[in-house]
Amino acid sequence: MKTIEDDPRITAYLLNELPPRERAAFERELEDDPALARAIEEFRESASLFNEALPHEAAQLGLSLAQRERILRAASGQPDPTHAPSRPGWAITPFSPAWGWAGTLMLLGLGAWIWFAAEMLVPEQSAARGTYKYADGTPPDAPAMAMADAAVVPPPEEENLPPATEDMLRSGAVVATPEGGSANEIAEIAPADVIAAQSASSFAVPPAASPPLATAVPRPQPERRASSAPAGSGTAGSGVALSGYKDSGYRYDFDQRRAEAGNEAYASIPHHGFRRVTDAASATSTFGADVDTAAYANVRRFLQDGQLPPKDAVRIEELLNNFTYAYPAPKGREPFAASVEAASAPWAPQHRLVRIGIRARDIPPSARPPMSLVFLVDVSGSMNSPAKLPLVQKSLRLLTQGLREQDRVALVTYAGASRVALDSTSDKRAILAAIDGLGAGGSTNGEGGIRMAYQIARSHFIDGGANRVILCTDGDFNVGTTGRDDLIALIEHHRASGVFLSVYGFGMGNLKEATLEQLANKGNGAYGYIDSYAEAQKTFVQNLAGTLVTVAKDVKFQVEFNPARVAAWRLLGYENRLLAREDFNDDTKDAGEVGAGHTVTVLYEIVPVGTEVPAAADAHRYLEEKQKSKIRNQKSDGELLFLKVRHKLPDGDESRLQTFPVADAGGTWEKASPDFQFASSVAAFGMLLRESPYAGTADWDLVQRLARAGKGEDPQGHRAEFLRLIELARSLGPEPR
Amino acid sequence: MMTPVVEEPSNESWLRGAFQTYESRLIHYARQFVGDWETARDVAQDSFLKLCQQDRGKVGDPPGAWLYRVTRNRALDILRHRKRHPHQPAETAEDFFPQPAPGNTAHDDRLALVWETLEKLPEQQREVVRLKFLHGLSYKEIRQVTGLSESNIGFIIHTAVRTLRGRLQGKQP
Repeated sequence: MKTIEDDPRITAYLLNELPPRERAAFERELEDDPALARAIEEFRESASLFNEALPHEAAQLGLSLAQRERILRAASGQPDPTHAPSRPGWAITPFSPAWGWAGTLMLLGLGAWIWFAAEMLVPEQSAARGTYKYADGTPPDAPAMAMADAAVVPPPEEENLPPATEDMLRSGAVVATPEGGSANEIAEIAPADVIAAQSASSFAVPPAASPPLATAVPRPQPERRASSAPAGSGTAGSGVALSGYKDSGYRYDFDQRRAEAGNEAYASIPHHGFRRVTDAASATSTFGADVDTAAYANVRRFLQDGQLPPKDAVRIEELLNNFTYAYPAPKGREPFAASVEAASAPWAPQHRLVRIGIRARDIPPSARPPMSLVFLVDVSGSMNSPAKLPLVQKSLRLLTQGLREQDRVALVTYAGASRVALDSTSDKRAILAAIDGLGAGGSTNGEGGIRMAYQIARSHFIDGGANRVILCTDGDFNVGTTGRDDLIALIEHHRASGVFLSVYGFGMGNLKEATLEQLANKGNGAYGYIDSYAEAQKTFVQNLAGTLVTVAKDVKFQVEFNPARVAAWRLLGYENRLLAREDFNDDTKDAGEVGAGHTVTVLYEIVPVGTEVPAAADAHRYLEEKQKSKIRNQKSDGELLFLKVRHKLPDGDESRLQTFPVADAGGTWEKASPDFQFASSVAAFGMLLRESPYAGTADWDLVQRLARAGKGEDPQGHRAEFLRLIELARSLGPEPR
Repeated sequence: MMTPVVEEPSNESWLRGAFQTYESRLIHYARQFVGDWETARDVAQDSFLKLCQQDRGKVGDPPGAWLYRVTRNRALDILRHRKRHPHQPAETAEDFFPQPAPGNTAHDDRLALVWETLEKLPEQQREVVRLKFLHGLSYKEIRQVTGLSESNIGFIIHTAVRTLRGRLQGKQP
């Protein structure tokens, strides 16, 4: 029997879907029929609940910049060279085999798109909706096929495309992992080349062998600048597309293929050139340790997205420190050991490359101090994207699973307002439930959240334990009216009382890398970028102790070069970690922290005396003479350099000094250790991506050769992944100079 | 006397506006079919590239219904292809969106009930409901996308709303 409730006009009326005439008729019926009017009221709630549960503006997703760029080109009527003419309407998608050269055509007319992308990436600031659910996770095949049968749609005219396109869609940028066959040949290490040093131990200095003299040194060129329009200038639609076009064979300036990353902000990194050794100051290099690895995950994200990372997103020290090296572990209760190795520089064989390796003491889970953690999670609207809040939840779940009974966790969320989602507890089930209950919505008020997090950390402080606030955000850290300086003062204040701050960036498009890294540095903590579940596992499972337990703080390096052997030197990376020479002995100067089991790798490229110094470092007419006379009076002229390391214990205020004299046996890189070769590969990779004028003869073949030779056992597959990134970078990447 | 001229937006700015409006929605929509974001982005990209080559008059303004239809057909093509080539398993669709916190407030309970109801609907109803409430399409646009008649669509949506109402009443004491 048909009832009033079967009338579909009820819902159509509520949804304003009735055509005007029907609507008028329906309203007349309504007036006469109280039962129908009642039904309307009953249905109204259900209809509006559907509306509310399925918000129209779900998490804002975007295409990759490369995809957007192709669409812009097509929209502006430019021919798409990647377009396959035999399949009208369907073009080759990114990562197809043609992508390598197609990529050279991509980022034309970027100016307008930067503006456009930035507009679109502005996070949704709509009022908090609480949690909601979207795609319902149905198995993709069965129900949708049923739908295909049910719906009889004449395909649009050009829809008859061969299913082969699907193969192109799915043929991702997967490159076969090369098996390290050559590793064995090169893995033989001349022991004399490796100097492992324990704290303050002295060791024999091998007889000095003159490094080969240079024949020609590549002259560093001034850095090329992009000729593309500045961001924000291209808001008008026309005339932006082909500004960099050159007729001859589709070659574009490399910069135009580089990702311009929406709202992401990176501090600019200068290229540090060679410094000529003329006096004590210029023979000394001082900097703070950095074990952050965020740049690696970030670079990987760009490459896997088919884009070259912005140059300033490539931090060589963070790429280097992403990998674990087999440096000798410290003995006894020493917090760390140092080891040094020197060989020829693979990209400039007339130069020497010195690798300093620091390995911090590892702490087994049973010996870890008890931890009191406060998870501070950004749940603002912009976090509502697959790579953000859901990945935060997964990461924190992983971390929680590694905790023990004596560890405590509290959970604070912040959006428009801050909220204690879970007071400090050691009940793992409660922690996991609170993590699962996180939902995104609202604007960002980071300052309120961080104050609340510190408050909880203070009230659950564990003496002698690891007390830490762990901030998870996509980077839009609004510090409120009081500004950044106050926030930093707050972080420094709590650092002094033993509550450290670690910062993890998630997602893309909104990342304020410089800000986040600065906050973590001030908080004696690590800054990490989590782009994937695998990276979360690496950070929160494999390196959990290193992430949470600091074994040494304010770790500083000072290297004194022997003017008898070193004509000029340069430090690779660590550009934003440099310290003044006198800061080394100043215990009030903050520097980097090293967590349990961490390794820190430092590379110096050295121009030996007797070799032409690259033009970046001009000779000093008078000091040169003075130096030469000084050299004749040098005592320990067998030494290449003298390494000094200072650190404090996590709860200490006074630093301890360790020193390591270092000699160079004069070996070549081909005979160096696998770790030396692998680190060289990572450094050269970074230099090519940064288009460093000091990359010398480095090209992608060399990078690959070094990485293969140095791959070693690679139990976790991190080095194999790096080999795949090399392939990606090569296919997108700059031609070496 | 001069008459003010209302300028039609240029083709490029029209396309750009369409992209801005539908980019995120089409990715979501495509993912409902193909299951993973990567393929969903590829499908959405291809739909926009196709739009660029179409005669604007034939597409209609706004181009939403056209874009949804093209995206849907393309996604279904991919599913058919996957079915023919089972050795290329689809990535499992992962539900990236936070589940509701259990039992926070009565209102959250009711939202949870909506999702639960939605999951139990037959697939065809579910698709139409999504197009209506999630993507905000009108009955007419849903007809253009799915090929179902408008009266059929009205019936489907009404049935879904009625089912939810029944469940809400069942919950009440």
